[in-house]
This record gives sequence, C-alpha cells and structure tokens, in this order.
Amino acid sequence: MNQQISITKSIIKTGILSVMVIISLFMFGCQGNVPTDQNFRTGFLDVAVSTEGTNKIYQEDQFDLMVLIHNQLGYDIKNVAVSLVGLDEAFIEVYSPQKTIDTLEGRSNLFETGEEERLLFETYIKSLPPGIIGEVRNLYRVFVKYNSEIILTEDVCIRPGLYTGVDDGGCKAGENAQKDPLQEGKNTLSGQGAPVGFSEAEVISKVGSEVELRLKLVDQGRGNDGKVGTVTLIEAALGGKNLNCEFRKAGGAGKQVMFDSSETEVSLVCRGALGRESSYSYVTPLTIKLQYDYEFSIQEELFILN
Amino acid sequence: MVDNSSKRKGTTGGLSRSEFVRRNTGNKLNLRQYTQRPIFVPRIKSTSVVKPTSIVRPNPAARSTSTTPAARSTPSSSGRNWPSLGALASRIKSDSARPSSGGSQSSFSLPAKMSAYIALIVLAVAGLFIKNYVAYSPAYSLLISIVLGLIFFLAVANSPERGLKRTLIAVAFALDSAAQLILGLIPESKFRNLIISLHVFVWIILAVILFILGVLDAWGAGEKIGWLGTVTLVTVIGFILYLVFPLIAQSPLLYQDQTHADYYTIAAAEAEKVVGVMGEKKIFWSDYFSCLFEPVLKPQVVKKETLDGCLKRKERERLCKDAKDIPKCITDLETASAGGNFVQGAVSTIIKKVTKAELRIPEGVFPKKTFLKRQNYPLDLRMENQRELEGITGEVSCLFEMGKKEILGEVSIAGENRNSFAVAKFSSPQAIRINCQPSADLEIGVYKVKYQVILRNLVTPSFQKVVFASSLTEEQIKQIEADYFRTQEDRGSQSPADLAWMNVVIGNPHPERRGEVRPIIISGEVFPFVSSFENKGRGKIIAVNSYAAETILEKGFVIKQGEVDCLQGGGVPIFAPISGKYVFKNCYLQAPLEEIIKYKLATLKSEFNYDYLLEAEETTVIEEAITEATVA
Repeated sequence: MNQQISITKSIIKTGILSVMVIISLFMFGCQGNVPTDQNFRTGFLDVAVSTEGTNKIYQEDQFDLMVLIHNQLGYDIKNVAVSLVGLDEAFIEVYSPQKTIDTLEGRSNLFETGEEERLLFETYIKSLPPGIIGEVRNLYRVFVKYNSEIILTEDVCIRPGLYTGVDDGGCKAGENAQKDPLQEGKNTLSGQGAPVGFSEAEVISKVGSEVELRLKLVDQGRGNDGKVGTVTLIEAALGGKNLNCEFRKAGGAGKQVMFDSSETEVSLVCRGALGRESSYSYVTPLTIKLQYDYEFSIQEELFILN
Repeated sequence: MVDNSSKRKGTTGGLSRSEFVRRNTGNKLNLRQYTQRPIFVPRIKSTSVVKPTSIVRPNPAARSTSTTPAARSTPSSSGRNWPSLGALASRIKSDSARPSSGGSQSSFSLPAKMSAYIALIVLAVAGLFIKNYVAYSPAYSLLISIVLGLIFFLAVANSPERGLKRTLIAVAFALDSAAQLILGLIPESKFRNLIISLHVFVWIILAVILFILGVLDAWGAGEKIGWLGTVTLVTVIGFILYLVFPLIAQSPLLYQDQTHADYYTIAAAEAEKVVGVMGEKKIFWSDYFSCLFEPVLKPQVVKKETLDGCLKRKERERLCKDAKDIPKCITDLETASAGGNFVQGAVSTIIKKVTKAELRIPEGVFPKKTFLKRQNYPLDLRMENQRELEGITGEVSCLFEMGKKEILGEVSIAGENRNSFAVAKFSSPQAIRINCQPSADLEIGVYKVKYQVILRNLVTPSFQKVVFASSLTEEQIKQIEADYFRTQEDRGSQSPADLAWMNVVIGNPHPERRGEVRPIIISGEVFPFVSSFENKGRGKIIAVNSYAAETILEKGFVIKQGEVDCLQGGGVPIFAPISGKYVFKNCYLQAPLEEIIKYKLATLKSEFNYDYLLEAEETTVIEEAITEATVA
C-alpha cells in the first residue's frame, strides 16, 4: 500500500516537473516573439550591404556574385535598386548588372532584426590576356538606392507664460514618459532610425498663440559613399494641428529639398497656432513625417586568377 | 627615287651603314629590301653623287649647227645633236641680240631638242640629291630652287608655248617656296607629309611635264624625238603606270575566282575616304586663308596669334560647335593640344611576362687579340619570349671595320651557315650563339666587329583603363578617380616591359594635372586620342608592321577628325629609327551614344607589330703571326 502511495507520489512529482520543464521551455523559447518596447526609430542607422562567398575566381568560368542587403533602419525601404558597377568589362561580363526589390521591411518591435535579402548576380569571367602572372585585382562598387521615410515624434513643452508674465518653471516629464519633452530653446535630437534625421530642434514660442520650430535635418550616413537625394515633407502637426513648414536653404524654400553634393544639412522651419489657449506650460505632441531617397555604395574587390 | 638608287647601289657594291640608316629613314620598304641582303657592304664614297654638269655633254656638231635659226629648225636626222644648257642659253642670247629675219615670232619658236628636256630631268634629280646633301637647309634649298628655276626658265625661253611653260615654272617655284614656308611655320601640320612630298619632288614633276610637252611639240612639228627621247619617254610612262596601276603587273586572272560582289562597297568606301580627305583639305585651306587675312581684317581680335595657333583655334571651334558647353569643350581641347605629350606609358601592373632580347659579347670566347686572319667572332643573343609569341624571326649581319676599310662577315647560327633564325615559342629564356667570320682575310691592325640583329614581328600590347558614363557629377568623378585613377600610371597606357611600347591614351586633359589625361568618357562626347611609340630597349624600332586600337574599334568609336588610319593601320613608314619616343597618331574620336547605369570600367587593349634592330660591337686586334722566320 505504502509502496503504491510512493509510486503515485513519484508519478505526480515527475508530472509536475515535466510540466514545469515544458512551461519553462515555452517561456524561454517564445521570448523572441514577445514584443519589446525598444525604440528602433532613434539614432542614425544604415542599410547594411555585403558580398558573400569567395572573391578569388578563375578565368573562363561562370561566377555567381552574391550580395546580401539587410534593412537595419526603423522603416521599410522601397524601390530598392542594387547595381554592380566598375567590374572591368574587359575581364568580367555581368549579365544583369542591376536588380531591384520592391520592399524590404525595417526593424520594429514585432520584427527586431529587419528584413534581409540575397541577390545573385550571374557573371562570366573572360580569359585574361596572355602574360599575366598571378592575379588581376578589380575594384568595384555595389550601389544601393532606395526610398524611405522618417518620422519625428516628440513631445514639446509649450510655455505661453513666457509672454504673459506667468513663469511656472516649464514642463515636468511625466512618470511614464520615456524622455523629456522638447523645451523652449535649442534641443539636441539623436536621429530617427535612418541615415537622414533631425539632429536639432529649436522651440520658439511667440506672442499670442503661435509657435515656431526650427529643425536641423542632417545626412549622417556613409560620408562620401552615401548621399541623400530629394527630401519631401509629407506631414507636420503639433498637438493635432497642422504646421506650416518649409525647407530653408540658400536659393529657395519649399516643401521639397535636394541635398547638394557638398551639403550635409538643411533647415526645416515650421510655424503654427497652438492647439489650446493656456497661460501655463503644457506638453503637446509633435509629429513630422518626411520621405527621402537615398543612395550609397560599398567598395569591394575581386581577384581573377590565371 | 630613293628606292631605286638604293637598289642600284646594292647591286654595285651596297651601302655603308651610315648611308643605310639615312636611306632607310624614309621608307620601310627600303629596309626590307636592304635587310634581305647582307646589311654591311663596302662604303660608297660621297663623291659618287652625280653632278648635273657632268650629265649633259656638249655636242660640237650641235653647237656648229645652232648658229642660224634655219639650221636650228632642221631636225637632226641622227637625233644626237644634244645642246648643253650653256649652249642653249648662249643661243637664246644670240637670238635675242640678232634682229628677226622673218619678222615672225614663230620662226624662233622651234621645238627644243629632247636632250635639253632630259637634261632638265637630270638637273631636277641632281637638285634633289643636292638638297638632300644639305639636309634641306631652308637657305640652301631656296638657293637651289632659285638656280633650278632660272635654268628651267632659260631652257624653255625659246620653245613653243613658252608662256605656258614659264607659267608652269613659276607655279612650281611658288609651290616649292610655299611648301618650304609652311613647313617652317607649321612643322607639325596635318598635311606635313604631302607638303614634304611636294617640296621634294616638285622640280622633277615639272621636268617630266616639260619633257612630255616637248615630246608633243616635237611630234606636232613632225620631228623625231631620238632614241634617248624615246627611252626617256618609255621610262616616264612606265614609271607613271607603275605608280598609278600597280595591279597591272599582276596576272588579270589571279583573283578571278574571288567574288566581285563587293566591288561597289570597296569603291564606295574609297570614294568616301577621298571625299573625307578632300573635305578636310577644303576646310584646311579655308581656315588657312581666313587665318592669313584675319590679322588685317580683325586686328583687335587677333593680337599676337601665330598662323598655326589660328588654324588650331579654328579647328577647335569647329569641333566644339555642337557641344553642350562650347567654352568648356574649347578649353579641354586647348589643354589637350598644349599637353600633346600626355601619352605617358608605364610598365603594366597585370602583364608581367615580357618579350626581350639583348646582345652580349661572350667574354673569354671572343678573340680580342689574334693572329688568325679568319676565324669566328661569336655573339650571344639572349631572347625571352615569355608570352610565347609565334612568328618572331631574326636576321643577322656583321661587318669588320678598320678605318674606311670594311669587310663583310659571313654569319653562322648554331653552327649552320645561315643568317636568319626563328625564335622558339618557349617561355623560358633562350640563348642563340651567332658566329661571324670575315669574308676576306683580315689585315694586321685593330678592327671593330659590328653586329646587327633585326628581330621581326614582335608584338606588344598596351592597356588603358577607361571609365564610360552617360553623365557624371563632380562627386562621382572624384570617387572614380579615387577608385581607379589614383596615380599617373593608372591614368596612362600600360604595357609589359618589352623592347617597345605603343602608348595609346584617350580622354580629355585632366583639369587639375597639366599634361595628364583624365580617362573618363561621356557617351557622345568628342575627345582626343593620341598614340605614340616608345623605345624601351637598347636598340631601335625600325618598322611598324601593323597597329590596332582593338577595343576602341570594337566599341564603335567614330573618328570625328584626324587621320583615317588613326586607330588601325599597317606598314607605316618610319622616317627615322625610333630610339626615344615618337608621337604617332593624333585624332578626335566620338564615343558611341549609350545608356549606362552609373558608369562602367573597361580596360582598352591596343597592339602593335614591329621590327626591332639590335646592335653590338667589339674590338679585335689582329697581330702578326710569330713564325720561325720572324723569330730569326
């Protein structure tokens, strides 16, 4: 009898243990899919590109050149064009030097790694001219061009009291707020999860119920190897009310701006009415959405062996 | 003319080495003819040059019969009454001093004797030799031309249609002087070779024309032209036929089995070429006259511009008239013109295998002192054919020289009595032992043993990296330069470290580095193409058998302006053996229009086939043999 009881206890213990193991396995195993609250739309980030496989190949042979493109931005990239440029056509024939991808998903709380894709470029290595000893080195570039967007979402502290004589000391960050709101005057921003982003915002309260925001948009991508093209303002709103924004640069202003070859920053100036009338400071959300096209390249090398 | 004379001398004893070099500067064919025979042959003294006065022999009979007009009008039955030019002149003097008996001009307009016209031909040839002797010095050339003009003028003074003949002489003199002037002002003009030919041959051409007119005069007057006239006429006609219809000499049935369908194509292509050349000449002359009068008509515009500068400016303006950015196009071409030497060559970074040769006197084997009158004098040819080229051959000759005495050498190669050899298709170095033995006993004294080895059909490729694009921003250009054209060697032509290079460079002048090219070609643009030959060995390039800018031809570039054989040709005459660098072709190409993603890189290949001369010499002392008799 006692023996039966002890066997039953053992079975129960083993069962409990097994259930615990299974539950813990589930818990640890599914951790990756658990949404996080990490903000992927901060900082200045780039799309990663690399070539895979050997870069030493023999003459008179087919060669498939693999290019890996990985979207590490906090946004999707669209109309992605990847081109191989600078492979010496005396030695290498590239059947199709450009390939395109419609969309490559960016990083988000539901997809932390971002999407990556491998592109295969088929080539034929021609015969080398006679007299070569060793290998022929060929520098080339992989060019990537895409369209994407950036969204700036910040809380802004509006202090109408500056002009009414009421100084309440400004806004205080709420307990649940991840970061402080933008204060009157100059504020530093750390990018919005793309190679292009806002690095500075100046809040200027005006007499009455108007506010002016002066934002600095910078290209902090790959230096000489990356370049933002045209940037278009899609929307700008403060406290739910549309802002009137214009890019400012020498020679003109407008909703669209083209970065010149030597240009790395432009200013965006927004003006708008406040959402509510108050004599005291309050926090209100700012949203600015931009679209841009971007192009960059990486340098690679290939060695053709005799 | 040079060819014939060299042939003659070859059969009567051959040429001295210096004469060989001088003669072969003008024509590759000469070199071939020459090198098929032993290269060293006894020297011909310079005094053997034919003097004009020694050619025309005065004939006493003719002098005696030339005292009266009636006598002069009587044709010589024998055809041997050859008046000298002096006699002709004195006759003309006496004629003009004496009143006309008939009162009619025609009574004095007797057909000049054929001998006088032949004498003019000989005189013109002599003039050519004398001009050659004075190296076409401008002052002496002009003096000789004046003397020739005067003699010609006097010689035709009493002939029928003397007005026409005088005009011809005046035109010839004007052409000769103008050619000399143009060569002086624009030494590197596009029509340089044509002008040189005119300058050299104008008096001979005139003499031949006068001779033919004389023949027609004689026939018109019912006279005989004599055996010398007939021989000369046949020679002249034969020579003209030889020049104009070289194919007549071939069998008419030789190529009859070939299709004739492409006759029209060939004819059309030839016509197109002629029209192109004519068009170019027309443009040249139009520019020439415009530039001549521009300083007078537009003194405020043209300040201190030379005629050459004006012609080049007009050429640049014409080339750039369709360009998007005309001032930039003109500036680019100006820089290209200023940096004509931008055809830089460099040792290839990819082709490491070479074709090389050198001559070495084998130390310890070569008899530097000997009492043997005849023995072998060895020479080693060290040859590297690392790229395993086919068809390289060699020809050897040697000579023993003591003062003015020259004794030809008999060549044996690898123990066999022969003077030619084929270079094996081995990548490993080869040594060829050449022996030279005098063809006659050497005398006691110090001899120079001179060797010449001509290597034929050497082939050397050259490569130039070029970037093609539809359009580029300054940023992109900077990136391309950083990636591909960092050094001067990257921007220029690269060849393996062979004996000679054909440097081929295309692209506009670099805006920042003077004298260098930026090999970035925008599709549809016009840009300069320059090629040069560069001797990199210890010998000389003596012939260019063929050349081709292969990739440029494949890509369909169009010669916008310049020589039609800019990109490809063969059998190029070399005016002097190339021991340094020689700018060869210069033209403007237009890149084909095409849509290019970003840009593309291509290594352009060119190749040339050439003959190369290597020389070596060593001294040997022939001593008296010590015999019992001498000891005693």
